Amino acid sequence: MKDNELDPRLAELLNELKSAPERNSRAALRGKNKFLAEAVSLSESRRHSGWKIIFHLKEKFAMNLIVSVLVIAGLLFGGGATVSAAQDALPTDALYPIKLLSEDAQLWLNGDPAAEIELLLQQAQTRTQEMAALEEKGVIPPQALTTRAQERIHQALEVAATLEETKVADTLLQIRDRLQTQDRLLSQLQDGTCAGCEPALDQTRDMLREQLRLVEDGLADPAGFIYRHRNQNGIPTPEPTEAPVTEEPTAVPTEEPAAAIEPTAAEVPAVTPQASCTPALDGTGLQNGNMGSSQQQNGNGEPPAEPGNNGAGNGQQNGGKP
Amino acid sequence: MLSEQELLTQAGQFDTRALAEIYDLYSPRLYRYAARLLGDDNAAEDCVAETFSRFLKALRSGKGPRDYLQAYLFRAAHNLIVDHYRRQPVTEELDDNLPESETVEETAALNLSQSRVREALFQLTSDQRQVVALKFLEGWDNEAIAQALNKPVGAIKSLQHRALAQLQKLLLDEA
Repeated sequence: MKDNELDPRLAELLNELKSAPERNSRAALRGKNKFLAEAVSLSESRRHSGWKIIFHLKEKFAMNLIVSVLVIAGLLFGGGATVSAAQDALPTDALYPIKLLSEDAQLWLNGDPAAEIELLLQQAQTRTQEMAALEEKGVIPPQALTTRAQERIHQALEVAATLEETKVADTLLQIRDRLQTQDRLLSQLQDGTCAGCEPALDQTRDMLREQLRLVEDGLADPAGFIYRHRNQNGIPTPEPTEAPVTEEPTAVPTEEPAAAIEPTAAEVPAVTPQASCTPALDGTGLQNGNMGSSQQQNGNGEPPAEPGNNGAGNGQQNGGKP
Repeated sequence: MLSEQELLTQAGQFDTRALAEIYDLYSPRLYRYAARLLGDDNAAEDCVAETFSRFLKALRSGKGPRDYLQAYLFRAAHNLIVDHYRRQPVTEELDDNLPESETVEETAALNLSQSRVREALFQLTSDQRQVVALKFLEGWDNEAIAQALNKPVGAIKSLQHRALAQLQKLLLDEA
């Protein structure tokens, strides 16, 4: 039977099925947000393995850590099941404080800086995902979520500054990637469906951009980043002279970023370490962090003649089966 | 706009921009496909969500599609639709989205007819049903359907022939 042999009565019956109900735009948006939040969540485990490679974390140590966290959290909070159940809690849920406490416990038990940074970023990202979940429910995300996320990111930067200088740039790149992902997720939420949520989302995105600026500064000048953060925390910098970090720049050795960044030493006489370590902002950090939301690609949604754009290819049709 | 290959590459790295673009591009088509076969907008939305969730999990495990993304997604959606139908056979439901000018009787008659066609479709084999749905509901050509079903074009024509004969028997001859 050829295509044109379709019985007209049968064609008419099949045509009746074409009148599909119009898609609810809000439901579609919820679906998209859920999809992106799941993507962010799944990507965490992939990144985590990357961190392990970079910092040579051993599997045994990681398992010991997990076991320790579970045992102590269980003892602290009356049972592992409760802690486990709390992990999906939102700020509107009764179990949410347990979730926060278990996060704190994870950090207390962590002795490795790289793993601590990963935990801190993961917890900051969890706050963003909670915002997405609340927004989906039409609940305005509380200010505390932004504050806690900011604290975690700040802590992550502080810990990063304690790493060896050779590892700082890689770590900052990882942090930047995570912050940009969070910013993109939030940008997807700003679609006007929850008007009351917009100020909270705006504020969080502003915070993320500010943190991204700090990260960009650090990437441009890792030594300066270390210097500034250790200075702020009163941690002596690894200078041969063991000079206090508040000393004049002349006391800073050659690894001090001012000499590396500035065109000539003569152009930057007698500036404070803080100023010399901070490259002039040209907006690149903000631009990188603000990817914006993707646009609707195909509003009419009519399928093309080919499922893919590469109909000529035939060697990898079985690339993956659902 | 990125090509499908670029989208897949970036999606494999969990780039949220690429993933959002994929969702925007394919979710409306998948929704319509599911809604036509299931006749229920909520079930169709669930089907879309589960299709994309499985897509993400496949990407994470390294078993995601390397090409023919649309074919992959429709195949996944179709499997879910079949599973849904097995659990809960199609039922007649009133469609709230029909134009107001239609009378209740007309709406009921249309729903009844749609339900009858769906029931007939779900008496076909899975491959036959997918061929009919993609060809006559979604407007795909045989080559595209062949990619979605991982079968040669000749097999698609054969499936279509048998499917239409069976539908004719179920819907016209027995009427």
